[in-house]
Amino acid sequence: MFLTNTETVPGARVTRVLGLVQGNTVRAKHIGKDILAGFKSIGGGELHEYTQLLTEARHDAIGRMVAQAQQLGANAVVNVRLTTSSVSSGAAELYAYGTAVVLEQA
Amino acid sequence: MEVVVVLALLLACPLLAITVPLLTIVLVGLRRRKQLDREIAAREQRVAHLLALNIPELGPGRLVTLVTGSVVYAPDAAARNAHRWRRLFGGSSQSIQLRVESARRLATVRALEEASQLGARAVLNLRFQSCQLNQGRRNRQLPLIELIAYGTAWVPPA
Repeated sequence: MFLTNTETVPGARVTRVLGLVQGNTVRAKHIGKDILAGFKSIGGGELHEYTQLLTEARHDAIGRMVAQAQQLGANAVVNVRLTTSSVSSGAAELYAYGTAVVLEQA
Repeated sequence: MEVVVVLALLLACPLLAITVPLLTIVLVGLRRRKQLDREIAAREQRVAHLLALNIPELGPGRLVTLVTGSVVYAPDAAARNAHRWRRLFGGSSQSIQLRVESARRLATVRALEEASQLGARAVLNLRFQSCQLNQGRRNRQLPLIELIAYGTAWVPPA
C-alpha cells in the first residue's frame, strides 16, 4: 500500500477514487509508565514513554486506515492527514484519514 | 550564642526543605534541556543532506511513502516558572516558545531520519500538528505537548 500526504502523485495517474478511509485509536496512559513519566515531567524534557506509546498508537490508526483501503480494493491512500487530540484527561485520540485511490503508472 | 544557632537552624530547615528540591528540579530541567539541544543539533547535522519542504512536488522523481516524526514534550521547570511570571502581565512567552521550538525540531528530525533510511533526498508536503495532552485544571501547571511532523519522502530520478 502506497501512502502519501500529497494530493497527486507525479508519474502516476489516479484511475479511480474509492472514497475517504479513516482509522483511529484512543490510548489511555499506562499506569506504571504514567507514574514514571509523571515524575519525569516535573523536571521536564522529552517523555520517551509517551512518545513511544503515541507512535505505536499512530501506527495502529494508520494500519486501520490501510485495512479499510485494502477492503475497498485500493492500492494507495493519498492526502493522508494525521491528528491527535486529547479526548479526556489521561487519554489521547490518534486519527488518520485519507483518500483511497487506485493508482496506475502513467 | 547557641540559642541563636538553634533558632537559625530551625528557621533554615523548612526553608532548605523547600528550596533544595525546587532548585534540584530546575537544575535537572536545565541539564536535560542542554542535552536535548545538543542532541538535536547533532542529529540535524546527520540529515542535513535532506530538504524539508512543504511544497507537494519537486521536479521529476519518485514519492516513496509517508514518513512521520513525533515527540511528547514537557517544558522544563525553569521555562515553566518563567512562563508563570510572564502570565501575570501577558505578552509573548519566550521561555515556552523556545522549548516548543526545539521539540518541533526534534519531531522534524525524526521524520527526516525515517526518510533518510529510505534513501530519500527530500521530504515533501511537510505538515506539523501540535496537541496538548493533559488538559484539565489539575494539569495546568504541567503542560504536556505532543508535536507531530509528517510528510512524503522523495527520491530523485536514478
